[in-house]
Amino acid sequence: MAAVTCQDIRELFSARVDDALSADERARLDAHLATCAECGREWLRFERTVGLLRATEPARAPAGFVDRVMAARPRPWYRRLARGMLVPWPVKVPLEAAAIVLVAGLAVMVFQRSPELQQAARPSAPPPAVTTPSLDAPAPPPGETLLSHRPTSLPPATAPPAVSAPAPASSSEPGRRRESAPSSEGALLEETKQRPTEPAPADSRKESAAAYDRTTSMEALRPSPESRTKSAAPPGAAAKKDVEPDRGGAAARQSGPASAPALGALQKSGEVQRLTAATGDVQARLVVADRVAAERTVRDLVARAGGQLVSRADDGAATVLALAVPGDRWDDVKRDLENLGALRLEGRRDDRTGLVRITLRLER
Amino acid sequence: MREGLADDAALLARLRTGDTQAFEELVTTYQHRIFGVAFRMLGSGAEAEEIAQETFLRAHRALGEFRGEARLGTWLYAIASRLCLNRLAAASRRHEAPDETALHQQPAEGADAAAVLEQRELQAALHDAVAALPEERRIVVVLRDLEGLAYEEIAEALGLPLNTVRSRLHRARLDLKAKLERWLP
Repeated sequence: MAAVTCQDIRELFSARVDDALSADERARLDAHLATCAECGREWLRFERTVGLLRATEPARAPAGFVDRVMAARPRPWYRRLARGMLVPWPVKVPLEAAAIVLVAGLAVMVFQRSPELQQAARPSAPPPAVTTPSLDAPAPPPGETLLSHRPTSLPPATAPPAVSAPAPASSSEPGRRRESAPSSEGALLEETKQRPTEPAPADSRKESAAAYDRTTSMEALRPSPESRTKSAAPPGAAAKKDVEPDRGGAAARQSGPASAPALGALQKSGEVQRLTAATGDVQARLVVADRVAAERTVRDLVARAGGQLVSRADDGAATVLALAVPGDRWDDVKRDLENLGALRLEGRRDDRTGLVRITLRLER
Repeated sequence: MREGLADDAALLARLRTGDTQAFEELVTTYQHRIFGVAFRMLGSGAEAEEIAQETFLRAHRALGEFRGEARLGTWLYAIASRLCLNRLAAASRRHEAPDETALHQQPAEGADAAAVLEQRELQAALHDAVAALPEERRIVVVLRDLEGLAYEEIAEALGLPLNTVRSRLHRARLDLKAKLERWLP
């Protein structure tokens, strides 16, 4: 067995302190320390050194360390989002206000620099005339209002500014038209039913005229007469579709474009209402053999003249038709009516401008 | 290492579910020990806090990768040791004056003024002696004699063979003994 040197023994000091020696190593160390004073003194110094180290005051993390770590800890994205949305009001409100102002400013700037956007923002032209309510709405039953079948354009171009003629309607208006129709038509029909065998008195004529004026003035309020002219001009398939339920309107549309600009100007100045109110009424009684055939003929001839049937009522003894025809065609219509049967007129219309409203009573 | 394996497993399970309270418990439990390692290694309270905070944040991010083979404390010591050694090795590290206030101002209760002064001097000498150790020895002695880790835990935390740990520890103690002559018999 080789001799154990002091250096070999001192190499065991660290393991001895940690109690990590085997039994043999510990026995050899203890035997050497018992005989070697120098190694014994070194062992005490070594053991003391480690003792001092282990007795060192522990370092302590500064106050608030845990909170700082927790605050620095990355949060999941949804918590970061929630935290961002839960910013205190005093901070959030100014931020949001600034964001709104910024976005609004950007929108205005983009709008001003984009001619396309400005063009798109202008009032758009109404859809083509093919979508007029007179096309979309079904034919009304007898006795029901026929207001939706009144002319949708102007009287013939040869007439003076026939501003009282209703303008073409846009498809965006049927709701409004249906809302306004019953009141005016109801008043007209009510008057007709109350006096089925007599011509309507002057006040009733005023009532019907006022009802008609209200509807025409509503039409006059519709914008963009140019676009209406364009939409009414092409006599396409839609115009053909319009023939049966609204022959008068179709005929009127054919002549409408020529006077449409003038109508637009008058509409803007309110002249439509004034001229419409100035036109007079005619009460007519026509005795015919066949009321049904006569009514059909009257409708046709009125439509050909560019006029239209405003309303219709039938009390069994007579059929009362409220008609409106261009003033310059009234003489033709009157002549045609005389050919149908015995015609008796009350009231006179010498003015050949605007519309002539006729209350025609068909009797056997 | 005071926590048992069962406690570690329960805490680790909660940590993996994203339990905020569990993470706070982890930080609260190990804050002083991790800070102590960093402080002994770097000698600066500010740097030690920075390293300790980074240790916990890295642990938070790497919880998914921790397989639980080592104890949580050992894992944290490993992170802190690596950060400290990297910091010491970095050329950009500021060479600040050692912050000894944390040790030097520890009051000695019930002692007279001379004993308090002597105690402060001893603590300063110990601090200086440890700070003067080579880094690879310093970390071993800090983990063993100041933090109480077993040889095997130190070897695992530092990624060293067990014999290397023993050897470095012995050399570090001999160096300290030489520097603390005044305080030895």
